[in-house]
Amino acid sequence: MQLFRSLGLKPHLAALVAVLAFPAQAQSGGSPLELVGYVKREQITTTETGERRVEWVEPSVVVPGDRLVFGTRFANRGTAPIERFVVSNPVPASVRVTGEIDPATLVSVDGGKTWGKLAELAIAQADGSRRAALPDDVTNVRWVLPEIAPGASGTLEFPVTVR
Amino acid sequence: MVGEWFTLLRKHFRPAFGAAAAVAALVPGVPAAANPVPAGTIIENTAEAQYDEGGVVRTVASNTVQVRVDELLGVAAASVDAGPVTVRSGTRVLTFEVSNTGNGPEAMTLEVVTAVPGNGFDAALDAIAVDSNGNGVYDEGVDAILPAPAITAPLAAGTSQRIFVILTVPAGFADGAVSAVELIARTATGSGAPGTVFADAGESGGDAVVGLGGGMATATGQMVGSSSTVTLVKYASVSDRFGGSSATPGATITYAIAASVTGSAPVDALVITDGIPAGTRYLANSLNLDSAPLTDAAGDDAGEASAAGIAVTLGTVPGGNSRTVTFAVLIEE
Repeated sequence: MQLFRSLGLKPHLAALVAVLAFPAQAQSGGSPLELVGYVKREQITTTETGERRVEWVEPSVVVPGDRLVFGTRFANRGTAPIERFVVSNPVPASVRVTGEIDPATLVSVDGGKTWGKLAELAIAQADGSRRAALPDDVTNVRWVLPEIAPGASGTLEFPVTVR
Repeated sequence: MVGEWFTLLRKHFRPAFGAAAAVAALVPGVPAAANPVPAGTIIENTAEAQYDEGGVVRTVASNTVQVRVDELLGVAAASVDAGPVTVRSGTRVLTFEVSNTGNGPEAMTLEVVTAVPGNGFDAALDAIAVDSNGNGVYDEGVDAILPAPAITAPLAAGTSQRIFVILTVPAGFADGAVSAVELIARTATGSGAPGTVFADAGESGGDAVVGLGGGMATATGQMVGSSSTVTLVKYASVSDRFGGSSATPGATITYAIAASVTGSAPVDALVITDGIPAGTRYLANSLNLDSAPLTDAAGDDAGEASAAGIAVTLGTVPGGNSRTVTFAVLIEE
């Protein structure tokens, strides 16, 4: 929702985006929606003064324990608004979602059967009791945007650690 | 230009976790899980969007991004002897375990350091062997000796190999002197600063990356030198038939043999023997161990005695302990 509010409050941005010349790479099937997935890896370097600097880089080398961000860049290349926009992303099996995930993101901890904010979900345990769901339990993430104005764009990301 | 605009957009549109991520980065690197993703695994991610276009629900899939998991180089090493090993001059085996904590098959290069600072004595390395038959103990001639430079066969990710370090302990050390022996294991593909990349050297054609441990682990085995010695002291007391102590015919001589073990370690299989002096004969049923009587017969207890002499089997005697054997003879008339 925060995303959408940002879109709604900045109409001038949409106008700027409209004049950007993007390659037609993701114009799948004549859809006005452009959807581009990407992945970045966290790279921490230590400066000479001992400061840790975090950069997000192309993941040329990835090993267990590395922190990644999976993202989807969307844009409405059409002239009409895109309505009831829902982006769903199953979490790959080899990664686990980290605690830095936006608490407002809709998630599922049961393979996409039920959805909610992470803080609202629970996991049934073997002894019949239930415990609060943890980022590690997330199996799917989802974002819902009521409308994307023509020319508007944005990114949706979720952070993971390689198992 | 385009780049600038994109930055501007992302400032506004990026979900809130970005701020949290910056804070979390102050925490040192997260160690990999116990069962890391195997090297060579391809992680694929695809998003799918559904939306309404003029009342028609449409579905669009994003491109699929792929990330290949590279090989993480990690090793752990531990001494598996139960505490310091008591050693004497001669051959001794220390036991270690080396584990592959990475996510791909990896051979381990082994190095043994016997001259460790602070050692009371240094053993000499004879050989490094692997537990070929997997029974946990060194079997000479069965467990394979690794030729120098000692490199194990590749260990599957998450598995361990028991390693035997065969040493020669020198003579001439002080009793109770300690000696450490280090086993250093390194991932054979390479080791060094965490994060070092060995391009194309990993499993499945990927890269190999040194893990947080630097691709190296050191385990320390401890030895305690024992130079325990046995001291025998023999006493004699005479009682004659007249209540005195003259060694006259018919008098009884009682011998006491005190065996003392000095040093930190026990001695094993200690046996006291003594002959019957000429001109005397053994007084039947006079054999004692620590004031408890022993029979003359062989096999029923620790002692046996005959006209030729006595023998008492003491077995294992701890350091700092003593045992006293007594027996009596009669001076022949």
